[in-house]
Amino acid sequence: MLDVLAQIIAFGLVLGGIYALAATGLGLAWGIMHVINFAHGEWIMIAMYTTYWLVVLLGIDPFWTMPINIVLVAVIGYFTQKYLVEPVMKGGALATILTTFGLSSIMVGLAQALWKQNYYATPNPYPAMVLRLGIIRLSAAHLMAFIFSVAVISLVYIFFKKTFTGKAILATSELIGDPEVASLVGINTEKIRLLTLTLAGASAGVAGTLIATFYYIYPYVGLAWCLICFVVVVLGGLASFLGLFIAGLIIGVLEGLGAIIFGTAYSYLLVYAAFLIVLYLRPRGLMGRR
Amino acid sequence: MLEKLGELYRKVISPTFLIVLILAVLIPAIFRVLGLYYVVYVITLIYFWAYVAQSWNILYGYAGQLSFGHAAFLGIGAYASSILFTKYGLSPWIGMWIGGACACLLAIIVGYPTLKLRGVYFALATIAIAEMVRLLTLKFDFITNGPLGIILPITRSPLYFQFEDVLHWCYTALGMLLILSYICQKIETSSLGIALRAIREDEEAASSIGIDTFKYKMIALLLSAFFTALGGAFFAQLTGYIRPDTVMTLERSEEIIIIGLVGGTGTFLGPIMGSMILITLRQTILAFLGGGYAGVHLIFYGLLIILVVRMMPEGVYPYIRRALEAVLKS
Repeated sequence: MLDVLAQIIAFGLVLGGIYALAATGLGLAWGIMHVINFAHGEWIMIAMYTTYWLVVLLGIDPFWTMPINIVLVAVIGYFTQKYLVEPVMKGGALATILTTFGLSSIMVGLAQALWKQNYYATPNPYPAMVLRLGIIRLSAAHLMAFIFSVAVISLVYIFFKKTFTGKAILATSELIGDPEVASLVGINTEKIRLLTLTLAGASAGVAGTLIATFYYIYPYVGLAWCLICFVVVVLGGLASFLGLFIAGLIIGVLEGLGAIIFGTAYSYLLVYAAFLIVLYLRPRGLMGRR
Repeated sequence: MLEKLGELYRKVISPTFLIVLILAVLIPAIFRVLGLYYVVYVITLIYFWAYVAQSWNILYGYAGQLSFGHAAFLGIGAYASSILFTKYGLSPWIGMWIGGACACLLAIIVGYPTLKLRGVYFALATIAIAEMVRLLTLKFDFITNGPLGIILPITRSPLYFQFEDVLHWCYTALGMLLILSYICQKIETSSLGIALRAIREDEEAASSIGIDTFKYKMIALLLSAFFTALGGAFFAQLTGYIRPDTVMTLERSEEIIIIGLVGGTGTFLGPIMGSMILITLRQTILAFLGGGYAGVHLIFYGLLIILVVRMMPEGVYPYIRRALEAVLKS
């Protein structure tokens, strides 16, 4: 029993690290420009399909598709902000939510039209490579995804804390800085918003590549991941990378427990229930003030 | 004479409304006489989805709370009445009210934690709870029959909410729509409607002048969930077969949202127009493309949402009203 529990927790923690990375882009757009990107899951989905097809057609290692995905989804993010989100920013939060929801619908529809309702799995050797750490067994795919996630989140963290551009972005955030003051000192807020969603896209590209190595790919895969990302971001609070990471780990473990209690197909039930409880108890997140 | 009549009607009820009502009753009857049963069926769907979007609009149009999970309320209504019907032989005429009560319970679960908060948490919670309800319906297959769904017995008896003639279905849907529209119109002019609109425009300000925003938002949510669930019972009876995939998906919620948005939110005539436009388009696309082009409707829905939010945030209702008024004046 104890080793099963240890296994669930270890696996949950690894999965949670990946959740934290997947949620990073969503948290950036939400925390900095109050845009809740409902298409975030579909950005991850597009990266997953790209990885699948590149691996199948070119026979390369899935990790080599990461640079392509970063550029691809960053470009999608750039154009989303420029032509879809920015024009409706004045309409408030609901207008941007509806617009990105429309985008997500288009992307799901495209995926269905192009690749049908099939489930794909990227052919790669990593899920079958099982590593033993004491009583815990983890696949190389999960472990590598976890290491990449921690690395990328750290990079994003350093970018925001150390570089001028990162600080400028934070300054325009309503939570951490002040958009009006930021524009007074000469920060071009529109450009910053463009950069933020581009960055969010890039991080979704990384996440999608990693997830594609061990997760099934189907048109609605984005919905499940998008909901997980919402939960992680709300639980983690909007203004904290550490909170995001811890929230990811908690959700990962919860999902593992959910799989034991309800079965793998319904493992998200516990996560969604936790979401409602968090909204009730700590709507500003674990790290936020009440 | 005609002018005098017109003057009378303008005082009693709005002339636009009366014209729409006469057309709503006459058009399906004409198609029925001509033997075009499919058209009557499509009109039934138009009335029904207008009814559902009307319920959704109570929440979004009046209270400014965006729900992505109305399919869950629809599904609960459909499942409650169908389970009671197939397992216990209870007439859906009674079962629908129990479905409505179940939907209210769900509304409290989702609304209680989120409606206290400002902002968009409610919208996020609705999408999560709708997924939860769908997963639970799949999971508890000993009650719900899981992914296979429930096939309703055919009785063709009005006692069991079933009709032989498609026109009767159509008029039932119209009746439900009219009752709900009447209630919505009453809400619009009542103190509840005023409070809700104040909350929609500026929640902070509304609460500072003493409006209990949580209470009013909750009332709007309960009304909305209740009427949507009643609609779910109707939908189950009309189609005779429900699955989680047909009544509980995000796609269903999306259709409800689009009908509301396209028609115009905040007025009771908006969803009716939205339904006319969207259902006609959808059935036409379905009839021409068939089932072979999966996903095309989703692309179309997505484009529609983006365009409406961008180009006409108030929907088509103001444009149509202006056009109608111009016609009536001349």
